[in-house]
Amino acid sequence: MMGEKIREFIAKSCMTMDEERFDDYLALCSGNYRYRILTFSPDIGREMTWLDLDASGMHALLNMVPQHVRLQGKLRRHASLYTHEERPDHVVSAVSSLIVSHTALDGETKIFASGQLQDRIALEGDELKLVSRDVLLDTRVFGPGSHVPI
Amino acid sequence: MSRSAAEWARQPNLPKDHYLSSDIYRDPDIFRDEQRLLLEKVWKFACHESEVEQPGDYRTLTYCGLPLVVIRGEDRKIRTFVNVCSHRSAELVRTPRGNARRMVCFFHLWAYDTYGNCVSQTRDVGYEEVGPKKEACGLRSVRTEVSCGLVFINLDENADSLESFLSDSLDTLREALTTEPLELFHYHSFKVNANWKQWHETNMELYHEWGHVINRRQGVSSPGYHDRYITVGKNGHVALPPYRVSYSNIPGWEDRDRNNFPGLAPGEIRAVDLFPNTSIIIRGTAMRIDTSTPISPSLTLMEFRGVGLKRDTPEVRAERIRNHNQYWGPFGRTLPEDGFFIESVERGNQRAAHYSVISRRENFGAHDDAALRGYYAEWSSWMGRSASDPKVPASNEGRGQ
Repeated sequence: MMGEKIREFIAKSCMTMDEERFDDYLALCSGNYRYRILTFSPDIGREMTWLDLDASGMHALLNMVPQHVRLQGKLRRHASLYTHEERPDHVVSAVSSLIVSHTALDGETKIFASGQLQDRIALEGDELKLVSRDVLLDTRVFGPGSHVPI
Repeated sequence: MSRSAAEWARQPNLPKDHYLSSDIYRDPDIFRDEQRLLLEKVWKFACHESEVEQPGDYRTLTYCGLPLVVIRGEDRKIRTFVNVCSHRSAELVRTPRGNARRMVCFFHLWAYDTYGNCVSQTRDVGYEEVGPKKEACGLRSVRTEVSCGLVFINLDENADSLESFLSDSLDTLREALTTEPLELFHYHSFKVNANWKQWHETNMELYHEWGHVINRRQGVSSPGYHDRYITVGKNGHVALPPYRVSYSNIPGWEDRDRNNFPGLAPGEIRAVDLFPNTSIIIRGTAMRIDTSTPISPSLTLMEFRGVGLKRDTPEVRAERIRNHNQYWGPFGRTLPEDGFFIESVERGNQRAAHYSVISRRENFGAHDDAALRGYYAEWSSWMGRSASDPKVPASNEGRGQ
């Protein structure tokens, strides 16, 4: 039961981002939200943090997205919930496998990124809130890049 | 008024060094000549010295088609070798970085030391009759020199020294690069669908900043932006004079008034573009080094390094990383846009363009095209042909001949 709820919640977070309904995405996040994109570089032998935003930083970034010169086309996030564990503090740790596809304006689709979502999701009454999301990327080469987070 | 096809194809009515032929971006013969006459002759940034900090530390790269390994020797000197075993030509080291006081070929276990000497041939009795002796089986070396912690290679064994090539180009960054030990915290790369020169053009022409919403809000509108003057130095290198930028006018960003690189005022930006394909940019707290490897006329490997001070506390490092990635990470605000700009230019050059214009004159002010004109004067001197009319056969006068 809880697993289904968590799966739907993570799916909603992906769909709102896919559809660039940023306000709806942010409504899923708690006030102390933390979002990070992390990856390991074999080139320098270090963990790298490519984005590290709190709730207001995420809000500011998403607000400016329409003003940027952007990757054209559509990103679609495919998250499959692998494990979830409810902790005594009513926070669920969830791990999902992630594939992000990019479909260009001419209709050609390619894999954009592969990785994992590590989420902490709080049970606030009947509501779920995303407390933190770590995107652990295997992919480190994206073409020029993206203004929209994963 | 729009132009007819003939008018569109006509050479611009400008001085010859104030426009560029699109052939320099798309013609495969020119690309081959660039490899032979220019890229194999000039110094190329390979890595930062901190990437090979300890004896045996190595870093691999491919340049002009050659697989290379940069390695710090037991004597702490940094050397570069072609990363191919002398025996049956397998790659010697097979990871982008590592440590190997003996580079042992994984195929038949021949081994080489950090000086490039072959120190072991497996069951060497087999070579006693006709050879070769291991003394004749050293690795092919590639010239390597270091300046301000930046490791450069040159495929031309007769090239002038790195010091002569760089001249005084790094002076504006010398304090930042040399006062304290530095180390990398960031590396990413991508293959951009564009000619290699376009990235460096974009680094040199600052009016592309009108295309970045971030720069429109803060850089271009900062006091003094247009009151600074670019320096076109020797050998095609370009330095941008320091100026200060306010960062906090971007929502969610902080001003860079602390933890700046040595020698920089709070929020100051400095940049040097080294001919032909390396740029070093410091925005107060964050340093980026980018360099390219041409793959084909329309495909280029871009590499980006983020650099901090080795003594950074975790908190300072986190701030530096954040500041770096706000602009320059794969999810940053400006670097992806530069990629989209030049991929678009590439499509125009491949399909329709004949000429592009580099005729802005603002007394060497920030938006003057003098940097690009200086770059292509240097390019022409190596190539023995002009960038505005490059189909004229290369003359024997080119330095690369």
